[in-house]
Amino acid sequence: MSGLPGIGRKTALRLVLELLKRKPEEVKRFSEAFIQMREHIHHCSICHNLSDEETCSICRNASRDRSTICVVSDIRDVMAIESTEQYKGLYHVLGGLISPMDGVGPSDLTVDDLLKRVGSGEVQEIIFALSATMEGETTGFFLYKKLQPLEVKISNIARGVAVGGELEYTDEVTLGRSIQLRTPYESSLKR
Amino acid sequence: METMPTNFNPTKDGTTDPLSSIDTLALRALSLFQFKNYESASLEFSSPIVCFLGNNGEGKTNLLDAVHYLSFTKSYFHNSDALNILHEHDQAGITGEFLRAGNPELIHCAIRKNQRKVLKRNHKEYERLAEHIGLLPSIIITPYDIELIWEGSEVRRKFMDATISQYSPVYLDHLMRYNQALSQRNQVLKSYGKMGAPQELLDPWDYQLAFHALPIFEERTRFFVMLEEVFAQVYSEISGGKERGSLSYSTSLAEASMDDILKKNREKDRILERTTGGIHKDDLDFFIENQPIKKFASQGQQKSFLIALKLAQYMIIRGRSKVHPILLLDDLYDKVDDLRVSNLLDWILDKIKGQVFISDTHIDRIPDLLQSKKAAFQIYKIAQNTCLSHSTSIPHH
Ligand SMILES: [Zn+2]
Repeated sequence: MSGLPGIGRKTALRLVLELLKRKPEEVKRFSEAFIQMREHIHHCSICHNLSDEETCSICRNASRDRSTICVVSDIRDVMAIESTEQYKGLYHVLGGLISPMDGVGPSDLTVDDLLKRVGSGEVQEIIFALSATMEGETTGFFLYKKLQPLEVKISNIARGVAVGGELEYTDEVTLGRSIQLRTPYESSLKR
Repeated sequence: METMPTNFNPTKDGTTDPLSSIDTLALRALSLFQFKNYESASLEFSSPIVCFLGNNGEGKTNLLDAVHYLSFTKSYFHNSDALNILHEHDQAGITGEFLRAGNPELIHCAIRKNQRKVLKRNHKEYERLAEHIGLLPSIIITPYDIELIWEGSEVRRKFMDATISQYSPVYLDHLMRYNQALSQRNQVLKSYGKMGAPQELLDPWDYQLAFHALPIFEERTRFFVMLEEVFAQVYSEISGGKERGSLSYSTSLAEASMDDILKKNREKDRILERTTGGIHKDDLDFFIENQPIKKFASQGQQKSFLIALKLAQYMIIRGRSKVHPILLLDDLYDKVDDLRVSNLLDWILDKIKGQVFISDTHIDRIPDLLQSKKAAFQIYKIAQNTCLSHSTSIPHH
């Protein structure tokens, strides 16, 4: 159990001792649930989100806007954006970010599947929602180069001063970048 | 981009210097736990000048390095944090109580073997260590500065970067990102080796390198213009005006854009499996009377040159960050004779209004000198890893 992320040897021992206290049937149900999860949950064949069917609930949902794809690195990013209830399009989960030093190149990501989806013609806009790190920006640039010939609108999520944040307390790097990447005032009017 | 404030003029005498608009900074207390040769130590400072006196190897330099740690979040001497932990222990701590513009700043740095170092400001942990750089600036002058002359260009770039980073967090961010992109690009080149990395995989990193190289180049150029002027003045003052010291900044970005440099070196980079040209090859060259200092200057001349370089660094950081940095003078008499030390102290007492820490191997000579100059100072005698407060001298005016 200590092989799992975030669980040290002490916590692992506590969990094991706890399981030993429980009734055998209870532990059996518990372990069956794990096996079920591993066997039945896999990746959506379209967007690579988690799913218990061939395609995920978002891709199956007829009311979602199929002309927009939001590209994220991780399934947790899908959950984060879904919880905002501000986005009605589809997703594409890359499964990581390009980082040669961690041994991750474009072929380790679901880039080809994304290009196929865009090439099929239904898609009009791609939104990059990648982290503001060197690897996130680089992955965005790589995808931009690949997507450019496909004549699709490509946008990046806005970055900068936190909502409700005061300028004075925003770090200089973020504030400087916000000035560089300023947006037309009209686009900030609430719609 | 920032420009030099028009009232910044560190080269004129104190009367025209707008020193009143510069914030004060002082270290009031320092405590160490298993840091370098100290099992534990705690020191209090009440004077603008503090002397650490004792034999070599007793830990004077380690005290100065502890102050450097609280300023830069790392040692001046070792890149590896683990090397700063007392032998056969696995953690160390440094705590400093500062007063900055009258406000208390409690800084605590915890170093653990094989673990992330933790830095806290007023009990709150920093998310990024880089956020701390520049808050409590310091400059160290040590015999090890000779590396600036003898070692490769990396040491001189580090000097430029350490200076600019103390007043420009934006520069530090560009620099860290450039270096990260450089490592990633080199990894692509290395992993494809003789097969030659496909351009498609290099392009995104080339784009990042070009994006960050330009502001780094511009800021280094601005810094160099200031450094050249301030250095010439300081060098002439502390060397008695007998000879002319000068510097030059060499960078491939002066002739070509980073994009062009990367394009030109494509094949070479693939063969050598690393990025051969760019801002990471910049260098500074040092001259006395237009002769390269490494070949043609005596040890004494080289030492004077380095002291002037560090004092120029002090003046620039003070002018740009608007705070009086802490000056750390390690082994002041190293390769410098009595007369020069006396002249140097006169210069420091006249120009530097911030806190000064001085270490020396003799018990009497610095205190005697300071007394004769009617300067207020405090002494710690350092022996066998213990620090004994000896006396505080306040001059009568
Ligand atoms: Zn899906």
